[in-house]
Amino acid sequence: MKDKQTEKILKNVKQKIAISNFEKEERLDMKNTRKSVFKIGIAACCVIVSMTGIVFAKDIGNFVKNLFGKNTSDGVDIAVNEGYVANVNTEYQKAEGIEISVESLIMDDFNFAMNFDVILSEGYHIDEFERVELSDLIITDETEKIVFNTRNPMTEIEGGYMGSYSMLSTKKSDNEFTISLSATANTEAFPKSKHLTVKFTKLTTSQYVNEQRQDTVYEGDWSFEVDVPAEFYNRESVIYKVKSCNAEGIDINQVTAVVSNTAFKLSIPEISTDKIDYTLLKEDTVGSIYKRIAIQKEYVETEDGKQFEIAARSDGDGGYTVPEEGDKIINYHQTFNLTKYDATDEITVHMFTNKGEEITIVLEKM
Amino acid sequence: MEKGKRIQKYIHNHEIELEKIIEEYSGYVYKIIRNMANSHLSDEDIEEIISDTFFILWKNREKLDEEKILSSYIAGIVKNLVREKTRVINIHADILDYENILQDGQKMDMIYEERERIYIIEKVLKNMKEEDRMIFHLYYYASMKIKDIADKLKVTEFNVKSRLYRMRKKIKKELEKGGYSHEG
Repeated sequence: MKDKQTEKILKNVKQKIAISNFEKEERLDMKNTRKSVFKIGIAACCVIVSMTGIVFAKDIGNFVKNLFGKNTSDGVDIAVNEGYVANVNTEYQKAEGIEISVESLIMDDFNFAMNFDVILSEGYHIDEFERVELSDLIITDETEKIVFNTRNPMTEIEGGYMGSYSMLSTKKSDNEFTISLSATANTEAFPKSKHLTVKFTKLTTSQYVNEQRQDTVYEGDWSFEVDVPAEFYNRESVIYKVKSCNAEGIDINQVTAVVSNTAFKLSIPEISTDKIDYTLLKEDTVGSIYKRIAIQKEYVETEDGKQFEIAARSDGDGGYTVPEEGDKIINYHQTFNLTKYDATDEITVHMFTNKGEEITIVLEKM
Repeated sequence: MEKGKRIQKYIHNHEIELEKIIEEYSGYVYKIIRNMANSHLSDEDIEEIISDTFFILWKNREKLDEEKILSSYIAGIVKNLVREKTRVINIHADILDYENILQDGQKMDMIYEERERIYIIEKVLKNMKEEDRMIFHLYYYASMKIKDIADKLKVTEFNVKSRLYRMRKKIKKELEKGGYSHEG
């Protein structure tokens, strides 16, 4: 073959390699919708089955999405696809014809999620388990610290979990489903636990009959011991400091910015820049409610041009407070889908205000 | 091309010397395709199969057994690709070539789906400006930093970042149009 043709082939191959690298870097979760590849729910995504205990699921072929339910953020998905997930697969425990095991786990400073696999005996109708809660779930670690507990308005647990959470059920087959617990730490980071004890005695299902809610409680003594992988408890979040800010009225020394395996959290105790129209925030008059939102759009950008939106799911605990007095907002905090896997030495936060102005905060790794 | 060369001859500093392999084996691949498909494939199809062969080899570079003969691996890949293209079932081939096939059939499907996506992206790139294609290549193939790309092309870093951002968006949109969805 002539050299010119070889050159053309080489150019084509290089382009294919570039595209392959692009797909890998952008983590394209691209499934051909003309074909049905996966089974119901997410069972097929858990492709690494541990026979002996916890292993790291590093060899997931295609991008896995919502492994821990649709209420987890894109940041959690990114961490899972980077191999930061543990397949636990404890022994099943059975009570009232319901077998349960702890299937998988992810845990970092900002997110804690756990999947339970549930198998129903004959006689149960899986459709009755569409809304499920482990009503008295409590997870403690080796220091007896409570890592998570289901909140019950009637009984408060001292030292209990105060963050947000959700429990979702996803059908796998006619007699099997997954309960996905996803929790976000909010004010306090999840601890660096080495061992977890997972206990509950009530599995509650809810159904609506003639618009009335009816709960059914299944009781048993489900208890599991889970060793946490070293990569989880040896994790280190990355702290950033402000390099520059284009707005006055923000004390850069008070800004907190931390990137973990699953999210980026930003906190600013007080913002009094003139880039925000504070009058609109306090008006009760009828007008565009959109204008009453001080920060209308935010995203964070890495040095290589990637942009990450706010984590509008379970760890999207963003917000701020408008005090009665003063032209300012206080306690601004936001969570973004940027994780350690994409974070660069410098990252830039872009915030667009109700005055149409942009606040830009450049952060650098400490 | 010496047909009996082992793969280790093409590994340098733990990296596969893809350009050298393409130079030495393009003719060999072309010959296999012609022998199998005769005149049933267009020149364009043949070029595509040749490029895909070396791409698949590159994708599996970490799984190659350095003691094995490279031509046998390559032959196995080519034959599967030609089979896929022509849907010919009865192919007479040297058993050694089958023994050296890298992937089982199921895993080959995953590569085929990836190749389908690559074709869609290639079409998108074809319709882009030359400079945008250059930026894409420098960033995703040559792994250059944004600053270095900007210096090389004598544009601003912001310009490079914006173009990459726009390209990513456009490609994802075209993939969705092509039947690929983010939903699993």
